[in-house]
Amino acid sequence: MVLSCMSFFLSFLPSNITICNADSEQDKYIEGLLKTAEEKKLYDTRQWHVLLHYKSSILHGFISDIDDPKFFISSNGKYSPQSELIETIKAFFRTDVKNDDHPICKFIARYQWLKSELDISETLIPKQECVECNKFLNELNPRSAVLIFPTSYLNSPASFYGHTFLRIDSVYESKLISYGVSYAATTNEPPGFFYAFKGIFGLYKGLFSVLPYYEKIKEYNYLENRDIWEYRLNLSQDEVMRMCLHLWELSNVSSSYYFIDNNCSYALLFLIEAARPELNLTGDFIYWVIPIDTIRVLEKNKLITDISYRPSQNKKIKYISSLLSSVHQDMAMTIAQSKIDPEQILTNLDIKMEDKIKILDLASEYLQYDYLKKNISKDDYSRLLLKILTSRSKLDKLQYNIPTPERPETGHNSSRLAIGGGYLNGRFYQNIGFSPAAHFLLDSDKGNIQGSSISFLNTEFRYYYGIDRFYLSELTLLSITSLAEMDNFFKSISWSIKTGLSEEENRQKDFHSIYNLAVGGGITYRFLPDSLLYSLIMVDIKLGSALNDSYSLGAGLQAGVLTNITDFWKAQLQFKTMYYELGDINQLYLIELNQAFYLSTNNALKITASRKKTYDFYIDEINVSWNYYF
Amino acid sequence: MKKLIVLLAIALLLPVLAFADQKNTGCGLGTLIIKDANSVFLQTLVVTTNASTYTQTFGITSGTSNCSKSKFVQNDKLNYFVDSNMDVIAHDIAKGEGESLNTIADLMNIDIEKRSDFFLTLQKNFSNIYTSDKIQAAEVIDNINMFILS
Repeated sequence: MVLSCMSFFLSFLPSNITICNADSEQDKYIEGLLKTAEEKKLYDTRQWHVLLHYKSSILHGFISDIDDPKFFISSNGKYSPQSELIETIKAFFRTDVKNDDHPICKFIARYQWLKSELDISETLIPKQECVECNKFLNELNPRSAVLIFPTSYLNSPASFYGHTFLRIDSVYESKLISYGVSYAATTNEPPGFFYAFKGIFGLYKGLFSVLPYYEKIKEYNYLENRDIWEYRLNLSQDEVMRMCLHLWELSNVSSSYYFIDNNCSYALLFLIEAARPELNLTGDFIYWVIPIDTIRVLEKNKLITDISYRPSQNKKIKYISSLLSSVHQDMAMTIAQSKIDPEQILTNLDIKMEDKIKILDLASEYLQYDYLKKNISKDDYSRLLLKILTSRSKLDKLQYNIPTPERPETGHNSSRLAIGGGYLNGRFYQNIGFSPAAHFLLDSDKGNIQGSSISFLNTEFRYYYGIDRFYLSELTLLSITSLAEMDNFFKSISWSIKTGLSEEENRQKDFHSIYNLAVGGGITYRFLPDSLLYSLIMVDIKLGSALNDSYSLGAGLQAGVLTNITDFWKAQLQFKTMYYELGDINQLYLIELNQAFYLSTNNALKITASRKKTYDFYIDEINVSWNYYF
Repeated sequence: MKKLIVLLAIALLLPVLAFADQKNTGCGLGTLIIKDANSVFLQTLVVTTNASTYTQTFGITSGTSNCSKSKFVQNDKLNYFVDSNMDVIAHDIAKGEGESLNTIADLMNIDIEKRSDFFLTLQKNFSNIYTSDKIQAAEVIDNINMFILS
């Protein structure tokens, strides 16, 4: 500013002197604002820290969770709330950029807040037209916000740790045309091992995106067959508007996306904090963020007012099927396979009117499901769909009331501590274990999908009294099982994967560590309303120095029954037989009976008893453990 | 026996890596995204990033923009909605009720009291709205519009 005054002075034009004076008047005004900001210590306020995503850091004092340099005006903005505040205030007075490129528009949430805190006069600051931002806000037309949680896929327990996003509701009654705000990794490659690796280690950039809600429903409800839960947030219209202003500031601003902690759910909490800075939601999460835990944090802060449920297409199909006899179910399937004309249902006098409606509804759902699985061509699909719907349009309306399951957040908490004791071939031991995120087959189905299991970093230590031995008995990096039932229509394959370190007996009956990867595939049937019968072909590869040739590769069968005896008592009877034919040769036979008693949502007692034959000796074990979820 | 185990191991331990996302573009029935999910195991991996099948953009992406617009109804939001929801709208009209029907009524500003009669009329005239399986979104809107005016 001073330099420009000098050059004007040198050019000898009187009018320039007036401009020069105006510059220094503005300089004085800016200085005044900076002084007020310093006095009020605005850079120390919760509001400022929320808008800039600052967290305390041992090394730097503060560090922002955002990595993208274009989010910061000061070169040291990522680490210094104070210098960022100073540079932000100064930047509002820039004249080298205009309108949508100007900091007033780009950092509109900061501007609105600072304008009111510092009482910035509209006449003394260059006016900007925030065209794009206004277009965005007008299109969103925010009134209220809803947190959306699509739960597990059919057959993918891991998706339970999947996704949350926000829906911004407007004046329309229909929610389909609301906009969904979602934070996800931007990837340009198809999924594979590196995909997961990059997602976990922050090698992808995360960005916010905004899409109409109907597109999200198509993706989650139909394509991925996930139920959707909608949690309305207790935020006022003004608060939601503040959230949208901050969202605009984050458009095209990226951060490293970490599946474990800086993920979709964590990013949304920042948006909610921006709406109401008094809230501290992100502080609850230190090492990892599991989407369902973010829902629990919102509940804890009394932010949830209303909850609704959207069943997946898979659920709808199962429900309508359950209302029909198996003859009628078959009829629906043959219509969907183009083997009989839907008009024949209309003229069939043996079928009740209500059943006719259900058959045609089921047929159209089956058809769409088949098409999504690419079992038929688009032309065949459209032709047949039209035929079915034409017949359907001649019948009456019919409401289906698909029962709402237990809400996912009412299930047990995510982390597990297990403490217990047992006997192994007469030797008494105590065990203590921990898993940061786990849901086992034996755990309560409440809020979960029956037959699904997923755990990360399940760790167990044991102490054997007789031989005075304390050791790590298990460190399972990842274990997932999905016992998806097969029925007439859904030909689902059940599968499992488990990998990690464990201790097992070698030929000399000593314990030794092995690292293994076991994968299985098979089928599961439901028999009796609450029981699953499953059978998986397993392949197991073990590595360990105590094994002959240091490895062992085998295959075999794992089969069993998983049943809910009562609401609070679950049992599993499992057989396993493995033939290790390469490397260290062995045959393994195992039979086990596992039971769980649910004392409360977050407390269970597990009793396991097993007999194993490995090499040429037997191992009998019994264990009683208390499981505590937190 | 050993060979069988090795083959089994290969089959189960190496997931199929082909995973082609195919977006079905177009403006008629069957405009749905189709994912080629060869391996359930791979779906587990997809979870780690939550990347959806859309190339994400910020700002307002409202659907396919290369479909022709309705001749009579100048309403972008309505056009985009119908473009992207041809199938579920057909379902709803045939059933006489549904969320997407309500959405269309919202976007066409139809009074709440008049809606159930309107939906009944649409249901009775399903074949006059979805006249062929090759119908496009613009025509569907124009056909529905005829029943508002009458």
